[in-house]
Amino acid sequence: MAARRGRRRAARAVPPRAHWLVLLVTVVLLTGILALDGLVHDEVGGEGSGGPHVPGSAAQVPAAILHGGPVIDTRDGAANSYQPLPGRIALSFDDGPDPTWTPQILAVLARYHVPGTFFLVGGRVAQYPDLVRREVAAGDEIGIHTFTHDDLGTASETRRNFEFSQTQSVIEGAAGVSTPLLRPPYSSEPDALDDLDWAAVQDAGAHGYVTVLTDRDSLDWERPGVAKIVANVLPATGTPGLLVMMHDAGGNRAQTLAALKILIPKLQARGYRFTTVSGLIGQRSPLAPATSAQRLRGQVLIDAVRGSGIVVTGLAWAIAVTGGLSVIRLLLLLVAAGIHHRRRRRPRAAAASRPVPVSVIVPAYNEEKGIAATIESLLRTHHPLEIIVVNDGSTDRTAEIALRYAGNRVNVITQPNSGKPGALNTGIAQARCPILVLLDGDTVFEPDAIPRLAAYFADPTVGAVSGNAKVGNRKGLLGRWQHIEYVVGFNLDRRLYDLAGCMPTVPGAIGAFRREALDAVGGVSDDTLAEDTDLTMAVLRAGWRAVYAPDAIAWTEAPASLGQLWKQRYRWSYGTMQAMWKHRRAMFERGGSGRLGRRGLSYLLLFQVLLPLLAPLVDVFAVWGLIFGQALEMGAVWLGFLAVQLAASWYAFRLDGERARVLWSVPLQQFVYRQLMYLVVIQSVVTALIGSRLRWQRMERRGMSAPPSGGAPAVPPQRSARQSAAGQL
Amino acid sequence: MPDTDPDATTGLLPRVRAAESEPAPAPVFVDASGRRRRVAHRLAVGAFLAAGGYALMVVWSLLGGPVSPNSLVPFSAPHPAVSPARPSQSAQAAATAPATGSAPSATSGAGTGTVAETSTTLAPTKAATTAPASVPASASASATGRRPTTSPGKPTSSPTAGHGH
Repeated sequence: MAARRGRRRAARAVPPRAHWLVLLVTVVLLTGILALDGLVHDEVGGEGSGGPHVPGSAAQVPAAILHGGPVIDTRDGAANSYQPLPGRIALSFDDGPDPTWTPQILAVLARYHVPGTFFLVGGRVAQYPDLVRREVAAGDEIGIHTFTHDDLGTASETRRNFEFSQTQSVIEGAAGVSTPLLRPPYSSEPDALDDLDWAAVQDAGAHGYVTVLTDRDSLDWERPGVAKIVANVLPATGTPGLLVMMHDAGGNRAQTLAALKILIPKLQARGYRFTTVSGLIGQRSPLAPATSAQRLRGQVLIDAVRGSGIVVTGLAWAIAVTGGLSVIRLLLLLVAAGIHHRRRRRPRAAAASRPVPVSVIVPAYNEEKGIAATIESLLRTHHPLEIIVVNDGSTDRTAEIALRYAGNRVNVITQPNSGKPGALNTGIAQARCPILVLLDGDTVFEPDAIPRLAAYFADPTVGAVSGNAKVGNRKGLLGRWQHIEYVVGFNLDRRLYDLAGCMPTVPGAIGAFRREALDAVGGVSDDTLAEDTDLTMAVLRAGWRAVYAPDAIAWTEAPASLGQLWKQRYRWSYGTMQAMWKHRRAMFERGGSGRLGRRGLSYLLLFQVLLPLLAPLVDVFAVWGLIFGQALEMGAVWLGFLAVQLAASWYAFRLDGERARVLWSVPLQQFVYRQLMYLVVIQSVVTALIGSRLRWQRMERRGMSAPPSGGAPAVPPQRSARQSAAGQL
Repeated sequence: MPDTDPDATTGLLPRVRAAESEPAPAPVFVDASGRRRRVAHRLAVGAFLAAGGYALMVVWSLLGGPVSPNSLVPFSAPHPAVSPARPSQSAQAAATAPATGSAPSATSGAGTGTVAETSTTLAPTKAATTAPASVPASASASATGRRPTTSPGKPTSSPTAGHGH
């Protein structure tokens, strides 16, 4: 949200609550989805699977196993190992399925009419269940290769149980079969087993798995070249039984494919009979049909994994688009501000002609602490003006203080409380000058602000002029953040609006209107909670231009607590949306109205409604990425974005002649402030959608006539803070 | 109808504004009937139930107890060798047991003649092998002896036609 207005009476909000639950559930679900997606992607080659352990002692491994065959059955609590039958060969492929390579491997196997055995990574099965179905349909054998390609030797018992069960489950869901074959990740030949591996093999047996190692590691994963792979597999002489280990995933498998095309015909020519792992040791196929409950369980997980993949992909795109748009916006702002600054369409000072008299309307509701400073600052102005203070049913000493100044220049009107638009309309009705300056009851004007605003009306097409509102109370982080927001909002966004001819808001804190424009739109409407935005849009649609006067400065006081800031921004956000909706037809109109619609409303819709709605998802994604993903990349993107943002802010400060030192707090804005800003937008959108606003508006009116509980923000150090800030400049 | 056309094409401002400012008894967005709130509530509850229900199923799928292989049928006999767990004598004894016990369990469990046949064919081989060192030799011996008679698994039965690509 760009800063726009000065402080306003905070509304007493009775917001709906259920949507926070919805947001919470959404965030929890999103976290679950990210977790699931992370789980299935954290496999082969993933940073998460820390790779194999360093081989240790093999003292516990029975010699018969170490020197035995590659198939080890420990299911009955014993340890039987099986040697391949001579003349037979089984090709086994680990780490799949892979959407690129598995189909090609299958095609090669089909071409030579040989079966294979695939040891599947559960996470990949969940992503590509169709490939597993194809493998089974083709008569290939399948086994599990854990869910995340984890080193079973170092995995905890719980982890192993998870790795076995989930892989089995997704295979059941994918292909409707259950398999007792397991190849432990990072395994090779039996004599490479160490004590940890052996414990895992025994545990696998307890879970019902036969461990399938290899006696012919092709080492194709090293990509040593096709010739080397062929040499690794091809026996020197004869036809000893062979269990060959290859890979159909986990990287570029072109060499594996090429080697297969050489190996299979060669081995067939030598008399080898190609079979599966079970066939290699003279067994029946160990695959068994899964029950429908087992299939359902696996299918649920597969669907969840697929769904999470879609969500995460969509989210990644949304974030990319968000980031791209934000950067484009910042660059656009920089360029526009530069052009606006250089053109400096400072109107020929009113000195040329006689200054046009100005009516200043000060709506005041319980402004006893600020009203005196406001009136005094106006009286210091060297410009013909009348000051109309509309005391809108204040219950404090506002009227009394204002009346002290009553005289030839100050006119005090007291009326029953009727809300700010009503007070403004009363003032407008009383005003006699062709130019009206509207401000909040606690805004302090610089002495030359009014002549500068008035000067822009020399151009007969100008119907409204926005001044430059600055935060007076800049103490504390919240004050600094708002100060930065105001400077950026007024010096970048507003210059862009001016250039593009689509100023959506002339701020209530400091704005000037042409009398005819106000009359043409029928004064200030109370249809929305952002009557300044509503009024500005109406003036633009009536054919006038609204411009920005950066040198017409007024000091305003920003909310000093998060609660007050929340209420203020809720009103702004909701009110702006109301005004946008009210003036939505501007989208399809011509001239100034069309510019407002197509440029201004689109800009607001995109950057103040839609992107903030995505922001919480971006945050969850970013936090997740920082913790579990590529923290470095995430951090780099974030820092890059921050740098652009800082550069833009710095430029705004330079244009405004402000000290850029406070910009150190910009990175911190990412933490409380940013969330507050987007949560406000979410709350506003929900409120708008469910249409539950009437109650609140009535409450507000009642609140205005009641003692100010949530009314005027506390302002003890207000004047001194403001003046010291003004003095610094 | 003729009134709306010029609005859309030329954007006649006065009429548009008049139309807007005229009635407006309820402020923008406010739905006095409360219908939108009810619809939104129902949608939210529906989405909540659907998402929550599926989430529960996923949790069940992830944490719903271990999933073991369906076929716990032992292999038809440790055809080359039994490897006694070296450290203890009891383990050695345990290791010998399945070899002899596998034939009955295979016959009763799988109930297939082939398996039984295979196991019986292999049993002697197993008995003959005591030392791990002799495993390769015995394995090849048993295999050569067995090859013509066995057609245990469907893939091995016919190398060319079995792989139905």
